Amino acid sequence: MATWNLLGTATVSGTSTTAITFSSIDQSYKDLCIIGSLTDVTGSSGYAPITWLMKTAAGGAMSLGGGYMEMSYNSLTPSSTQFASASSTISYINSADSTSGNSPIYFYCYDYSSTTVAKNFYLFHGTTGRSPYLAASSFRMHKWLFNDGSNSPLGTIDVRTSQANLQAGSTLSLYGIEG
Amino acid sequence: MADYEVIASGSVDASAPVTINITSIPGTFKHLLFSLNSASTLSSGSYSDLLIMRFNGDTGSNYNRARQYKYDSASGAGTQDRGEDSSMGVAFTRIPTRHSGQSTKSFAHTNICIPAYSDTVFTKGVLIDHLNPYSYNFPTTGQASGIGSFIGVGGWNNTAAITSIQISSYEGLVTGTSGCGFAVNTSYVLSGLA
Repeated sequence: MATWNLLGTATVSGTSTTAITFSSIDQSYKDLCIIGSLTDVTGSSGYAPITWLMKTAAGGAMSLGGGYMEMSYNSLTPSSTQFASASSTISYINSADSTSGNSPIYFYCYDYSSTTVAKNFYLFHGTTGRSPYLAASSFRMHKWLFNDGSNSPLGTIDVRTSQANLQAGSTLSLYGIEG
Repeated sequence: MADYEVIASGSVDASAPVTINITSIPGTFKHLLFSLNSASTLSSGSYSDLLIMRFNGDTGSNYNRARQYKYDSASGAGTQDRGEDSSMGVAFTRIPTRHSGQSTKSFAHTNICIPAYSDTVFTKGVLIDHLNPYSYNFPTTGQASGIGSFIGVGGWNNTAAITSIQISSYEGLVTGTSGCGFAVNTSYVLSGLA
């Protein structure tokens, strides 16, 4: 029976934290999961971009390809986007300057420690709160699937705001799941 | 405390309860995962019922949601919308019924992630992933081929720790349709993550 094991929790205090980084990730599990919620201290139109940077256990950057389904502010039609190659991906979180909510996040990676299986990353997240919806301009929801085809084990996950800093109370938990 | 524990689980009998009420959720975990397999006993009128998910017994207009969905077999783009200041909770999505001619084997499946449920810093946000069964066409016949897909993000405008969850049938609770509630074998599992 698969069991979940907490590998680490990072909770932001103060107003000067730019990133949450899980490095030297324990390679003794099969899958990884990250659950949490994030908010930026400032942003544009009520949301702020964050980047997800993956590195191999050896420290090299991964080459990520993939795509996402998106629901964004005033559009009534769902959209999707794909990209062939990037070193990081961008998603969006609430910004505390103009919204009252936070951004729930669920991330899952199968076979992250394998040396024979390409890495698939699933990411589901969105912005919440009363003000983003009323503003009709600042809510976002993304469902991503991206991958790195090198078969290299995943060693570092860096979640970094490119807007300002993360709001105190922002938190991410990393779990290792036994096969 | 293990890093992953089942906090509560259960299934519905033939009494068709309007609400599944999970109470006394301990604050000792960090995140919650909720899994629900559900259908409604609604037997006439609409071919679908709606889920309502509320927290801590709050029936006020304190919920918001954004969702993408497609519930029929027709090709083409789905729909997305948003709602704010709603009393209908965060998981406002369709589930199959026991309308005349409907299979009693049809259940919708819902996974809900509730990060930082025990924190008191931010208002609460949830992620909802929901599928209706094959051969269930909302809202016209309930029987055409197709599968209903729904993903959504919801929020509760309250920073309090979540201590109870109420899952309700819209037709039973709001419309007040007599005898309408969750169908027998509707089941759920609530898990806590350290």
